[in-house]
Amino acid sequence: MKKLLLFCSFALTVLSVRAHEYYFAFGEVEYNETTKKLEITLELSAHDMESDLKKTGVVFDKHMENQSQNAVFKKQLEAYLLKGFSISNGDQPVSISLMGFDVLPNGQLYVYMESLPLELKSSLLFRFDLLMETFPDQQNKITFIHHKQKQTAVFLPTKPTEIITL
Amino acid sequence: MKKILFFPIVLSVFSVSAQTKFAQLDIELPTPNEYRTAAGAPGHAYYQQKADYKMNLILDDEKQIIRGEEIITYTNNSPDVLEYLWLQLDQNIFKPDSDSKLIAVEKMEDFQSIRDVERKLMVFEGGFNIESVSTVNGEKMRYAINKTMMRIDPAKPLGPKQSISFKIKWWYNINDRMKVGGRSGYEYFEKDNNYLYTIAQFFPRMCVYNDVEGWQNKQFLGKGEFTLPFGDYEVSITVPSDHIVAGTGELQNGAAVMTAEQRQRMDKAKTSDKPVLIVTQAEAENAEKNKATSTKTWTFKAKNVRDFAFATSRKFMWDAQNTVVKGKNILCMSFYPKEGNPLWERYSTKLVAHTIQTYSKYTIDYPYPVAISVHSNQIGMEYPMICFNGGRPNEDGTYSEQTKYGMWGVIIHEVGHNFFPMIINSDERQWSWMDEGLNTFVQYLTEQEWERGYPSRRGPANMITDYMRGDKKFISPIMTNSESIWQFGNNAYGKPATALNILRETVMGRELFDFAFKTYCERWKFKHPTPADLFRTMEDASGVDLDWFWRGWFYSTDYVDISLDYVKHFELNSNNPDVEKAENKKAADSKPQFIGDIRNKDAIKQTVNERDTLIDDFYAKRNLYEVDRLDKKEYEEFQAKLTPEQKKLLESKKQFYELAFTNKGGLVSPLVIQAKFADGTDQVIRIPAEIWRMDETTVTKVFIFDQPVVSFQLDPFLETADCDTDNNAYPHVSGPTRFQLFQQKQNGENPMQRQKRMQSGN
Repeated sequence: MKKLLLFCSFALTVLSVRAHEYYFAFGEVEYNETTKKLEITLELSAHDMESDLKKTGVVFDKHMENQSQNAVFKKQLEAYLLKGFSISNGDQPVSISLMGFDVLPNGQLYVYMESLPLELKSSLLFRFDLLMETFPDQQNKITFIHHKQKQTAVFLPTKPTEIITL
Repeated sequence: MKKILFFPIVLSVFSVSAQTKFAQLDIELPTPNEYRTAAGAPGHAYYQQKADYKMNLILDDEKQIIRGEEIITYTNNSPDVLEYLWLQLDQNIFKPDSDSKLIAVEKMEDFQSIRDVERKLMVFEGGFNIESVSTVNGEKMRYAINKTMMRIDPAKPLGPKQSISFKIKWWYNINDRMKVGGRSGYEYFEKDNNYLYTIAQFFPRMCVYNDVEGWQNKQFLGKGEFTLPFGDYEVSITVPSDHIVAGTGELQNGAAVMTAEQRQRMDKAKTSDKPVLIVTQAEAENAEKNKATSTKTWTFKAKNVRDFAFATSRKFMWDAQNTVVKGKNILCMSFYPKEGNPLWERYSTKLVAHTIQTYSKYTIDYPYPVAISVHSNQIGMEYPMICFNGGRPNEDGTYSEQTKYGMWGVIIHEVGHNFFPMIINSDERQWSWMDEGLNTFVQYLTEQEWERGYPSRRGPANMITDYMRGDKKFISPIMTNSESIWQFGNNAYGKPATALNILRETVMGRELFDFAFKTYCERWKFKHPTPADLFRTMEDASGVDLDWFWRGWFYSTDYVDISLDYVKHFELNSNNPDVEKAENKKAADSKPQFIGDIRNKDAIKQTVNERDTLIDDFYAKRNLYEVDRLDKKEYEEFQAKLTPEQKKLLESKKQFYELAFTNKGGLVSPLVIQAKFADGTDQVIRIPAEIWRMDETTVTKVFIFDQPVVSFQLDPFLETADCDTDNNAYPHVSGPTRFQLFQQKQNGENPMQRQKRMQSGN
């Protein structure tokens, strides 16, 4: 038997937001042959993200777009993102850091991340279960670009990891 | 570049094709009959049932309970004898043992916060308490409850053209929408100790009985919404006397529930094209503080509606304005607490009026006398003439751009639902896309007419590509039952809206599409359409065979990814030996040389035929590029046979390009090709999807231009939902990734900082 760890968060969870039927995040990951870095963009619903961030105890005033110069928030956001998005190069975890983010007027959030330089091995293991704990209908997808070739992988609450073979 | 060779006989190549993507929809669609025609219209024997309601409701604001007594008069217009009647008990989804709770898939990660555990353990005693079901004379009627459905057994079967009236008495605990969730319920405002109620699915409602489903009595599990017959409503709602009530229909007793000043303001609003406040913020705030203990009864009547909903609170501000559709006045109204300001007072009612106008243009003239938007936090939900919408500013009155556009979008969307499904009354329990998808499509048109460049979230073709591409295993076809859809929002809202946009902009063109779409709306207003009725009407009214489109976009999970594989360049052969032989020599001289030949020039000092002059014969000695007498004679003979027009064509220097395309995504699509020329001009060629009819995988096409082409671009206006645009250009052009765009624009300052810097002169 395991002990259940509880976070002491009293922020309200958004429930049954009927008009808000998004629950879809998309990632674009490209290996930059020059810098040897993985360049990552995640696209999510800013509203879902704000709600989930607050649920996990990240405190910030108003909306995410007000936090672009908030270094503390960025650190918290990075930690949050890396819990739900990670990459292993072969069996080596890839170090990823947050570069910045944008919130579009239509509520789409773009998060930009980058890895340290690396030599690609024969496969990459992706974990992308961001938002899935809060929103059971969440489905995520990535497109991996290498040598101009694109591969796509789908992530579900029952299938949070995927291997892309190069 | 190659020269074109002319063959005397044109060979036609016939290939065998399975034609699966262009096969006519046959087994997929129901057989047309006297109720629904092959043209997609209601048939000569089309019928629908009628359900009229008279209701008395009492709101208990102390205990958050609603009690009601309703008399339903049900008219059987079908040719069938009905042994029993089915009603919907949607509130039973809140019963502690409801199926929707039992079937929710859970895992331990769902219990990470104390709040999660608290919510899981919280027991809300929701659901209907049916006190009695009786005839209007008070005789008990037999009934049985099956979860969210109730069967009533009349004393004798209800025959065709017969009506029956019966009475149901009930009550239920209203759910705290912010804690328990739900489409309706209450929001509690702790600061002033007041409630805002948005009440819907609150009474036992008749199911639809029709030629398609019989009784549509599928259980309510949460996603598949409501399927309801039309009828007339008279509803009296008793609430605390300081409450303001908004309801489906027209208020019947304004004199009894409104002050003289409010009625005066309302008279002014009825002729105003701008919002007029009926209840001001100061008046609403005053009501918040001084809670009344007496009650008032508000009475509403609505004709030919499929449902009734209302909202009530002492916190409500209320504004109204008139809008005119084809000479008919429509009263547009908004009800909102002060927490909705400044957004709500400024925009809500104007958005209602704009939505009514735009939807009337593209669908049918709005037929009801009122249209209402009510502010309820974090939700958007639709009912006839009234809807509940989110979009709440921060407590300090500021709001973000995404909050503003979110509020605008949800109001347009929910007011738009008056048309789909409240009037064009499809079966929501079965097909979510029929109302959500069509509504999202017209929402997009409405947003674009509200503000040029409005950042619509759904509608434009390129916005659906992330969802559609890749692994098809976890994508549902649009034609999937509401409860079984992967990715509800993209599937039921985004993809059908995109598909209709592609039909309008690319496949059919605006004129044909708009006529056909309006025909569908006119045919099925105040009726119950099915997908086949939409598919058939769109074809029937436009003269465009769209079976391939419905098959690909609605019945499959294929996606559009067409690649431009190669481009071959040709010019006409002039047959002039002086020109052609010189060209041939030039081409031969510029041909790349094999490395062995280059090295052999030095390595082999002398070949045998260079040493022995007797080796070279006629073939070795002839000059391939020399123009001889016969060449000239043949050319003169060739010229003599040509007409003046043919001579002109030969001299025109037409440029021929053969382009090859591969359908990588599986979904056949029209080809939109832009050719750019050296002089900076361009030409766009639009090829119908039928180019794929004999070969669904690869096709080639020849284009003829007056001048050489610099580049070709497939889908240059992002209108086909092509999921990979990197293989769309010749010469190859790869678009920047989003990350690269971010790097390009990154300079560390936000737009406001930039503005400040500009103002400071730095």
